[in-house]
Amino acid sequence: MFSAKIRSEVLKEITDVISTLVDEAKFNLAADSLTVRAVDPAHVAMVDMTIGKDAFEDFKADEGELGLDLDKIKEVLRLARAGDVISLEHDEDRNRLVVRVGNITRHMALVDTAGMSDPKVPNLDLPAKLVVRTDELRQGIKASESVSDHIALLATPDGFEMVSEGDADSVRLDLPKDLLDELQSKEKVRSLFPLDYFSNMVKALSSAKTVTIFLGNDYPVRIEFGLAGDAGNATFLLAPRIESE
Amino acid sequence: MLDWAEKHRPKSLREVAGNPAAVRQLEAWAKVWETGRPKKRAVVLVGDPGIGKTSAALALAADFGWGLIEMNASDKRNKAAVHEVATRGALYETFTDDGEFLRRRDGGLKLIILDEADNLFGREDYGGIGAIAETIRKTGQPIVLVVNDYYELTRRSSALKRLALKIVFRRPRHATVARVLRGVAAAEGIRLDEEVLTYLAERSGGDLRSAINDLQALAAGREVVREEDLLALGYRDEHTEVFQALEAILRSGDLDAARKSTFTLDEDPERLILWIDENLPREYWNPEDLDRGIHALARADEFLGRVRRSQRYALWKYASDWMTGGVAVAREGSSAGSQYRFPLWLVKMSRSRYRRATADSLLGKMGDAYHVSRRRARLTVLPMFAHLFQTEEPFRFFQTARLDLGAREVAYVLGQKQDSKAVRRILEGAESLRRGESTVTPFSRFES
Repeated sequence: MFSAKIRSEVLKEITDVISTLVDEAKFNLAADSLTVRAVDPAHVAMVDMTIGKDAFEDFKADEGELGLDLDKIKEVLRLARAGDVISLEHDEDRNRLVVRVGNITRHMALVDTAGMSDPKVPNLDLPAKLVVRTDELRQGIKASESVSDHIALLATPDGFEMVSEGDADSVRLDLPKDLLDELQSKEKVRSLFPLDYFSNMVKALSSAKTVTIFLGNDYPVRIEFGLAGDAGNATFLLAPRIESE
Repeated sequence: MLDWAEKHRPKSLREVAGNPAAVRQLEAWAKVWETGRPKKRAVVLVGDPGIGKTSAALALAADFGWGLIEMNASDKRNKAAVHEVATRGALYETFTDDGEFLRRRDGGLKLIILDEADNLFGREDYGGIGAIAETIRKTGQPIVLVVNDYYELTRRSSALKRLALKIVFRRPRHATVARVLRGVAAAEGIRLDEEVLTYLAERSGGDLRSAINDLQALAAGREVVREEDLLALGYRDEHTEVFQALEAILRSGDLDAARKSTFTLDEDPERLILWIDENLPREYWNPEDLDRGIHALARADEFLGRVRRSQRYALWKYASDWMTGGVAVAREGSSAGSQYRFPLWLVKMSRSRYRRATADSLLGKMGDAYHVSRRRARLTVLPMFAHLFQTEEPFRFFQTARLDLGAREVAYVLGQKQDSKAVRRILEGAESLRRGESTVTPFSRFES
């Protein structure tokens, strides 16, 4: 059983985060929350998201799972006006989701979840931790976009850096310790990531003012942030570029 | 119900049926990846359908504990899609489906499988082949291309010949197919008559997938499959029956036997005449016999023509009588007793299928644009069109955009390869025209 009401902005936020990596996803339902875990088709990134029932105007669910096509959710969101509340209901007999927005009712066929994986979040030993403002990250990405298609993230005892090196040009954003909300880094660590994915991840954060980043040396980055006014939280993991031999 | 061919795929390279040399080659290539990078970072597994190429690639990933990404024919595989999945996967480290992190340095790789890589077609997959070659040049992860037709792949990108190691898979022998079937049957709790096993193995011609599919179809709702069940399900070998009919027609010399031989045959006269036409000259060695035989076939063909034009299928019986009985009594001397062959004409038609389909879709688009039939388009429009297309650049862009031509069609008119620069340039020009980024009049040079 699943029946919920949610503000369109919140649903958009949730959808944007997941659709950064996948087009279809399995939503795992529990009595007080909803969880999504997915690995992208190129197997270089992961998302792990939990949305508590408080993010919803109304939330009733039994243990279960729903396979959703995120493009269809986006279509519905385009019909919604600011402040609209969208109602979602699982029609178990016909295995579809009934979505109501305003006076529109959309019946949405569910996606078979049999082929969808259930990844566990790996335990990664990431020595550096920092908390950075989202708009600073956006600024760094904007600066890098014309220069290269990957971006290096560095943490040192003194600050956080984003460096992008192209064939001829390079660009770098320096955030010294006093501009960060938190910094723990005993030594210098550095890893290289695909810029477009990193950029899409950061763009998907619509309400989080700050994000927590964990970094290692030639190791994945872990990006943690709040969603839906802290009623939910999500983690992105992004694999580093293979070091050259 | 789960597809048995899928369910019983080999879990390890050791379980791959047949092809020991190819499997060893594949394994050796993979071993190099464990410690460094082989000179050729990709392999192309070449071979007929259903003989274990994809299975071997999957088993390889399992044996080496590698992650896996697959792009199949059902996925869109144009330039952007290949970049997004294969290229990205090739350059970065890996999270597996289970959420495990694998690092290259610790031997944690991911295998990138491009299945049916000789099957990237049309605008849907435009630029895909080029993107695959580019991915192989840059990759830090092992890549496997799976193809039926090596030529079809390298025809479109000759760079792949240099970049990828070719590993040929052959059809497994009947005994190997039988062994696999026995294993599947045992795993599914089905008992098989030895005759059934032999029959299915031989019928498959080495295609394991089709053999397993046949077994699954036969075994549906049974625990024991006996020889009689084969008949009950209407299984039989199409070619044996044709060969028997040919024997009655070309060797018996008996009008009645020749006519009756086709009564139970599941071939219509349109196809049967091809079989007879192919084999008559091998059997009738005496020139006079041959002359009379061909003459009888020609009479049969006249009736076939009438049927095609008038759609009066009642006339087929006259065609049949001429090509069977007529041919049978045309021979007065002895027959040569040669081996019968599959009609060459059918083989040729199937080989040129791709080219004919391209011409057909091109002529269809021309027909729509110029309000003429395909036939007329071929006779009157195409020669002029091709000439202008080859000589006038604005005409190329304009018509490619207007007729919505794909890479195959442009290559056809131009007489160039599909991945050639010329073809790419035209498609790009047409695309920018379509998006309104440039303008062009088809005959600009006459207008100034």
